[in-house]
Amino acid sequence: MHPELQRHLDGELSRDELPPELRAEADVWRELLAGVRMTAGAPTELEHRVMLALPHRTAADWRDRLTALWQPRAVRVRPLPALLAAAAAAAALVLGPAAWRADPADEPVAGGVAAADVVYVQFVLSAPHAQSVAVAGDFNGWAPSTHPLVQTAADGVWRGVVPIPAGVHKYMFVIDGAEWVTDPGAERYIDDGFGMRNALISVTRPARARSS
Amino acid sequence: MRALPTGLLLALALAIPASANAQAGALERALAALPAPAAEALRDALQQAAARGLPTDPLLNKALEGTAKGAPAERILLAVRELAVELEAARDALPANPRPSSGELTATADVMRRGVSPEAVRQLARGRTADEPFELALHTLGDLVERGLPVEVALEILSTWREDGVDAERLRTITPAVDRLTRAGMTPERAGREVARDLGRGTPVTPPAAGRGRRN
Repeated sequence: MHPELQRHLDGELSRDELPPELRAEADVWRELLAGVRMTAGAPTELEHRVMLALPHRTAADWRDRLTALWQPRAVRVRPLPALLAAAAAAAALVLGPAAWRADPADEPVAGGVAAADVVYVQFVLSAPHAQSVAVAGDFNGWAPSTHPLVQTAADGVWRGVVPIPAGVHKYMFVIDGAEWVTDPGAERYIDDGFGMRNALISVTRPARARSS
Repeated sequence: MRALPTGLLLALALAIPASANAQAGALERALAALPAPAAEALRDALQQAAARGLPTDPLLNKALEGTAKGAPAERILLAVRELAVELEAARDALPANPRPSSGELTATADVMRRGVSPEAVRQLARGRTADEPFELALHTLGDLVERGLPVEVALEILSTWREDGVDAERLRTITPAVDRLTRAGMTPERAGREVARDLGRGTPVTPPAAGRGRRN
């Protein structure tokens, strides 16, 4: 096609700007293109007719699909990724089975507890000579530094607020990271089995502050 | 034939409760703190407990407690094994339905160690209501038995507390009230009956302050 005729068909040149010898050919092209544009749209109701032509799903089809799940079939698996997946499953079985029996609310998590039924409890201990005081118990996996108390004044009294799930919990204070001390103001006590006494605290809703 | 998506396999393999990760971390910490033979023995103890249908988180917590407190490995293992026996006894004392939580089993084991009989636990659990702080009720029973109250009086107090509306704060007042009355000269049994009567009337279980008279 002549380049100027192409520019005319693209709308860049008017018919009058074409060389006279190309104008007749341009007229023919325009008529042809007008016919194409009229038939280029999708036929009316084509979508509806296509949908009708598709096979209709019935309950029997779903039964067939469910039955197919029970049919033996060959499955192709790439060896290395499959081995990795099997190793991950084995690790989950070895590390996880004990936890599957556990009550989530009673998890021995260090530094965190389940959001449900958590009550904020204030612990207080007078320890004027301590450099640091923390509270450790079954609510934080007995981690001796996860929940430090703070001395807000020079009165030797250490305080800290700890989120604890509802229930009865055992705890002790840890002074200077090494000395385990029983709360002298606890609700009740119980032997810890290691020659010391754990304090017991019962946490129920609504939250209440406690002090010793 | 089609290849099974490896991502799906991994997702299935790793679809374990998030809490398992926390416990796996705790287990790792306990095992790392013990000498290899003791760590192996601890793992065995946990597996045996799990095989007997016991919750393992209290046992793991006991091991963590022992390691944190610097107890010798053999003492830690002994404490874990003793606790497993106590948890099993506690489970036998509690009704199977509803299934007791590990916290309830632990509290039951604790109060049985404090001298509460399995039968008393069974009686307390029998009258249990859905919305009561059962672990605290168990320990209150332990307090009262420990103070020398006859178990039937202790159970009567708790039964009256239940009829009064299972209020946790009211439950907390029971042991101090008994203590104040016995310090004032009452026998534990009489103090217990007095507290039960107050609970039944819906009146405060706290006795009058000194100098304003003493209840008889």
